[in-house]
Amino acid sequence: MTAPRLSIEKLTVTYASARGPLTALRDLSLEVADGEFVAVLGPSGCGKSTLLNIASGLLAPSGGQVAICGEPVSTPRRDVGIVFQQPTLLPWKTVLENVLVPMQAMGLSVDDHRARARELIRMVRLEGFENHYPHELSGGMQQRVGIARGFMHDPQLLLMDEPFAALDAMTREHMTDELQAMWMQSGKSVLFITHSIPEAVYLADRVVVLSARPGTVIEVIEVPIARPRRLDTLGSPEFNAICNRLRAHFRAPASEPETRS
Amino acid sequence: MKDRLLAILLPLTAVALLLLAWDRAVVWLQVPTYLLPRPADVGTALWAGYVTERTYWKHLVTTLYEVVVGYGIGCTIALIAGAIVAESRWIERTLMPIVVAIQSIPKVALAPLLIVWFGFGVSSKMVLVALICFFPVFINSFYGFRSANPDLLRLYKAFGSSRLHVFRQVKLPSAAGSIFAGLQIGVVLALIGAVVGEFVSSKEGLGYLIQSSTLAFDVATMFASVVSLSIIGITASSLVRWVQARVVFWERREAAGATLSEAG
Repeated sequence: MTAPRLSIEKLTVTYASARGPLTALRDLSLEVADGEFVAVLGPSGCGKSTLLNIASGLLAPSGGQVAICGEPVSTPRRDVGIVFQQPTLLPWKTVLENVLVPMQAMGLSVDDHRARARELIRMVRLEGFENHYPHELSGGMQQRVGIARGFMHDPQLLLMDEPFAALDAMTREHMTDELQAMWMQSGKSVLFITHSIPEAVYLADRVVVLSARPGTVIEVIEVPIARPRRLDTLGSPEFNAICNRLRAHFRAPASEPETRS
Repeated sequence: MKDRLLAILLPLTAVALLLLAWDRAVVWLQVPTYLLPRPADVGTALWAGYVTERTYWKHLVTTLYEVVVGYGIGCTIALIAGAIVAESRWIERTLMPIVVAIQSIPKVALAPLLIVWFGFGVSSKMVLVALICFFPVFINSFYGFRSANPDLLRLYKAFGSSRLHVFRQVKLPSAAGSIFAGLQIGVVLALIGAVVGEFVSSKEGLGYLIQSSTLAFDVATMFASVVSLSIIGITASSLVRWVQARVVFWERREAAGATLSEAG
């Protein structure tokens, strides 16, 4: 068996804060297999974003192991793509230039990759907007540029930090479908952080539930629903059963309902 | 079209009425012309100074020279200093309290000292102009550089970009709007610095012209100098605004875009 795309073992992250050390994540272990879509679900403040910073190598763990394809992660890696909660585009660059940012940031020739960037722009259905600036696009379109940029350097692992949280419900539904299609086409591994239960179940092969701070894995649920999942999947008893089972974790008396966006 | 015409006509009419009121007030209230000249006298002085006798030009050029060079030096140093201080928390913690303390000194109070140090010529005025422009540009560029989106910085860092690359590609453009706000304030202050410097001691410049004409009870010339200064001020700050709109093109439209997307 080959090493999993991403493996996190007994990860602990402790911050120094004004009130003494603060443990964001404790003994967290999870794996993302090659081509697998894993959603991480948790209440606010459970350290979901910290997890993403660790996986991308931007933050060093206080304890435990993080490995990509069996290699320990210590510094930022170029074979990882990141999609943020906000579009996080450069407002002075056009859509095309924004999609090309990874190449430019790595110091590679932008000209050699223009064709691929155009292809990705087509994939997120923004053809015709290549030379528009972000402020000329709607929020949903901007987020799609951010997603295309995440795919640009062909990373085998995509880290997505609540990428649809800032979108309105209708755009969100549409984007979820698009992401599923792009993922099925590309065969990449995805670690998808979210606080939406239906979104997690709709997209993921496996849903990892984190506890409130300090975040640790409390349950892992397989989602055996066939792909491609469609709007009618949302109404199926199978889908609802899984959602309800997940919901039970957040109904515990100690935890608060998720409100952060 | 009608709106645009009105936008020009209305202020023009107001100015014309104001000039008329001024003129009538001088005549009807019998204000001595050594206290307040009639607008036409100021016009005559300007015409003579710039067209027939051409005696104002050297003063205008001297003041402009001081402003442009002083502003250029002050803003350049402020930008570089802002970038350096923004890049290092250590430098920030060491220098920021000192900078804030110095900022509270009224810079014009240093004018006599600067004349002693740098002489009666243009250089002492340039130093004063540079000093007075420095702070707004420094503070604005510092906060501008610091305001860069942390996620964007993370993204570039994740791709292993060098510090210089991140600075040029993300921090500098992110700071541009804020830098221009500082440049805008600086341009007005620069003019004040030059005139105050000339007041203290000089042989040329519009500040000198104001002082010498006031001592000679030539109030028309004094007013003509003030008009010249305000024309420099208006032109310079419009120029900065014009450059700003072209360089930081996304910020103005970003605001418009926000309103549009809310409506849609």
